[in-house]
Amino acid sequence: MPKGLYIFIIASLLVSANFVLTNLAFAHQQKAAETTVLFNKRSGKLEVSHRFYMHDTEHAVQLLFDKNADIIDSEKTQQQFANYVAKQFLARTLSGEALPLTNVGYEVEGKFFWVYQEMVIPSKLTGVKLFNGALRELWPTQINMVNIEGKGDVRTLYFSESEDWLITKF
Amino acid sequence: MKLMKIKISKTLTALLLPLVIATSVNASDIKQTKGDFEDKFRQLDEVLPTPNVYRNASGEPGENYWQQQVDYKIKVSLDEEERRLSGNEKIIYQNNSPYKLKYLWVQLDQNIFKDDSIANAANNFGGIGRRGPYTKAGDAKTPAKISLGELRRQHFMADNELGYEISAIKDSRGNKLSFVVVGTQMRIDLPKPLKSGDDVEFSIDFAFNIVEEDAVSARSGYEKFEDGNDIFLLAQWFPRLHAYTDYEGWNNKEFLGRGEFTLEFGDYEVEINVPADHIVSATGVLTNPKNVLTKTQRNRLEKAKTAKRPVFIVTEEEALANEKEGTDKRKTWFFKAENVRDFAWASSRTFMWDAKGYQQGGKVQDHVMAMSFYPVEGGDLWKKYSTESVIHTMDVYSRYSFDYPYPTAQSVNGPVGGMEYPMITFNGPRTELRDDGSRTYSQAEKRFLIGVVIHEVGHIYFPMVVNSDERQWTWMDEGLNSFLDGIAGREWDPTIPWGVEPRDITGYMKSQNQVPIMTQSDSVLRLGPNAYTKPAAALNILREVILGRELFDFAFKEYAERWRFKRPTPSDFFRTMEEASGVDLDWFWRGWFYSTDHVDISIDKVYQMRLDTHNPDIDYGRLRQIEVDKPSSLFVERNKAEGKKLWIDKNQDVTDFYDKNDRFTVTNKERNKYNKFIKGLKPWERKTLERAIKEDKNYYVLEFSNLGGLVMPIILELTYKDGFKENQYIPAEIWRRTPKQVRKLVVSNKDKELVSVAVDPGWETADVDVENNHYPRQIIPTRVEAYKAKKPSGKVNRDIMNDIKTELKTDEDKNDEKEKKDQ
Repeated sequence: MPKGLYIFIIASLLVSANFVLTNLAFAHQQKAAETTVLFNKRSGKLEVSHRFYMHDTEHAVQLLFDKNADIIDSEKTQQQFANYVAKQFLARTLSGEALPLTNVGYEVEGKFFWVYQEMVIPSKLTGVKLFNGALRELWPTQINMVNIEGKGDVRTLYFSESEDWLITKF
Repeated sequence: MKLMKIKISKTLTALLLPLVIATSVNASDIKQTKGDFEDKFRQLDEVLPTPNVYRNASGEPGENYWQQQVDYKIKVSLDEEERRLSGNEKIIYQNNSPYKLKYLWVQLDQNIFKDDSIANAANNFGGIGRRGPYTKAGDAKTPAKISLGELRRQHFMADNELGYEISAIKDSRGNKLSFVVVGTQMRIDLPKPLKSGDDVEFSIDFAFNIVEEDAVSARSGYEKFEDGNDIFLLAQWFPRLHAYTDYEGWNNKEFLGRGEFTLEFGDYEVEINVPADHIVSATGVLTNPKNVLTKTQRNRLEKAKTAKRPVFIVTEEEALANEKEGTDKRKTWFFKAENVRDFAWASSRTFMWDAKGYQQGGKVQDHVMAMSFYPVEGGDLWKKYSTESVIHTMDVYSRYSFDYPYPTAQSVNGPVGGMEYPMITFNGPRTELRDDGSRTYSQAEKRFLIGVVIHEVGHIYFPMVVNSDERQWTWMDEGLNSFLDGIAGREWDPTIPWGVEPRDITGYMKSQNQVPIMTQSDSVLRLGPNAYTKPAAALNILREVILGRELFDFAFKEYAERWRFKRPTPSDFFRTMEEASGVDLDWFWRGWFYSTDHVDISIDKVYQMRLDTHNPDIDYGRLRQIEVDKPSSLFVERNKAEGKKLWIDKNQDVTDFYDKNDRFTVTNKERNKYNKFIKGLKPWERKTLERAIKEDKNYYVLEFSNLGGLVMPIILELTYKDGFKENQYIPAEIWRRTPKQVRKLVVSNKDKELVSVAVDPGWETADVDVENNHYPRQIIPTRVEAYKAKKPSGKVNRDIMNDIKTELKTDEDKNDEKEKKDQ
């Protein structure tokens, strides 16, 4: 049993904002993102696609960057957000070596904002350790679902609340 | 940043365990113990409750359908300083059930905020699906985290005495009734059992300290503004009778925060005493406007009834002036509401108020007053779109269900993101104050405002009138309403991405950790996709792909009309949709609502066949041609290339019969056999063969496999050599005896040669893997590949706001020519 755990206060941005509220009977602001980690055998690339609801990102950028941040019309904000997501999504080998992902780009498609990353599939990978922190420190109810595809059956990891690094083995 | 050392005595290992979900949900008495056949079309009878006199087998209210009626007369007073509500309610409980009741159960939802409530005590620190501010469990290496928001919640709970204070419960003669509080519920023992058909009158004195919405994440509460003013949103504010039903008896399930509630219908008379400068919005109709509104305000209301655009009853200037003045006086607002299942209200001196009449016509409710209440923070966003969205919702929803049945429909801005009650909804979006004093809002906030108002006003239909039980089945109101708000949104402006497209849910559908839609609200792992998005997408598919709009809309309207002001259960919905559309949908409910299967249909193989004529003079020739068409042996080819001389070429003087006649040579032996065969045919057989030979059609067998488990119709696009494309719809029933693999015969004219087949080319069925939807297989670029291949010409990255300032250059401009070249 761990002794003397520390409770760490997040000097959070949340305190004054209305956006911290859970959406109760309305799912407009979903506070849910989906990520696909695809082992693309054809190209030999490990491809990562993050899908956010525009409305989530719309509020998030104002909390993360500044009040005038605009994910719909400002290319600068879009790039900033894509960079933020890239910093929040980390991959390691089972032994803890970092798997460096390259940023591919981002785009708006209907009600979604997509962020893309990739890397060459490392040889002898027997599993991955993943961390997906996007928006979770902003919103208590944020859930990031990660589907790992291209390695047999789809595997799913949920990053929410207390989840830190999660592991999937092939 | 300050570090604080806190000793935690309980082990946290339980939190770190991965999520494990039992796969078996419904253990059935009927078991398939031989082979692995799964009857995807098994009728639902054994799963659905047995029909009875209260709800029949067609999904209609039965011949002896009953529901209780509870009428309330409430006097309530708001203490603004103390942020406290106290009141007295007189309740008349009418027992329409065939049973006698010894006690009544009451909901005390405010008790969820007590320290020892189950919701608080059973709070899984940092656990999944928890409502409220951020926490994060730690382990030996990483510190646990707790946000300032969570600390604020804890401080608020520690500093304020929360939950109901029930001071007296008395019968109509003033005698005290005994009662027992059980968490968020209370049992009132009746002096004598309440017989079927009788009513009982009693009163409750109650009070509670209102929670600060931002601190505790509730569905109501107050919001503090910096200038000292508050907005009060009051919901779940008075002790309310639990539902007593034919299908569950007392629906007395502890309030844990997520599963909302269901109540009985009844008539309400509510007197709300507030500071004299407050504006009150509430369920029902204001019955004493002369006492609480100025003459000007009353005239404006009258004018609003027939206005083309919303008319201000309280203008922005008046609201701002009101905020500054302050008063010690008080006023009492009287509201009356008939046949509603709850009562909510809002009060603030910051409110401006606009209204516009909606001439609905018809016998149910000819005229409805649509109104909005919001502080200056609402800005133009609310002025322009709130009340109009309320009216648009009624216009659309009524076409798909029934006429809006109440005299008012309201949208109130406050600290709650979105929540619904009869005739009144709370909606969160606001504008931002800019440095130059203007108020602006983003495009997303505009979509949010219109979307949330449509959604919450839509809830006045489902579940406020079609009274499904939210505490048990969130999907019954959220799923149906998310489906309908998509329809209303697309009728507002289809360029805004509204609603749920089947493709939006494929990621969730194929993910591992999920529960069936038919899961009790508090046990659902991910409420958003499970109770909102997946059912909405399922209904969309049922409407657009399986039933078609005509059948679906008829059946859906039938459901709404049957259960208007009544209490449907899931089985009533499933049964009505089936019997009104005339289509057996048990497989659909099983797959989408009772299982966690997903859609993944693969086209595995296509092979071509040609009819044998049996005539050797034709068939042998074809066989010869097939042989000729085969590639010749590499061995022989290489010999030829090397210039090898063949024995037969070198010795051409030695030949025999077989040099002129190959193995496909037809003799009279075969012709006689053929003639005998033709002679032996019955006239109809001969005729059929003759015609088939003459037409010489192409026969193709298509092989499909079902990889996702969910059976669905197969939508086919067939492409022929001449470029012609044809669509075919194979009903889901093709899977009924072999749910994993099926074959389909496609016949085309001789000149129509099939070159490729695509399954669900329009992405209408939520098929999670499109790569196996093509034959021959195609390389479908992944999302990342598709993105990389795109040219950056989406035109969305243009800074038009800046570019529009560019001056138009004239012919004389020297650079003109040069620029043209550059382009």
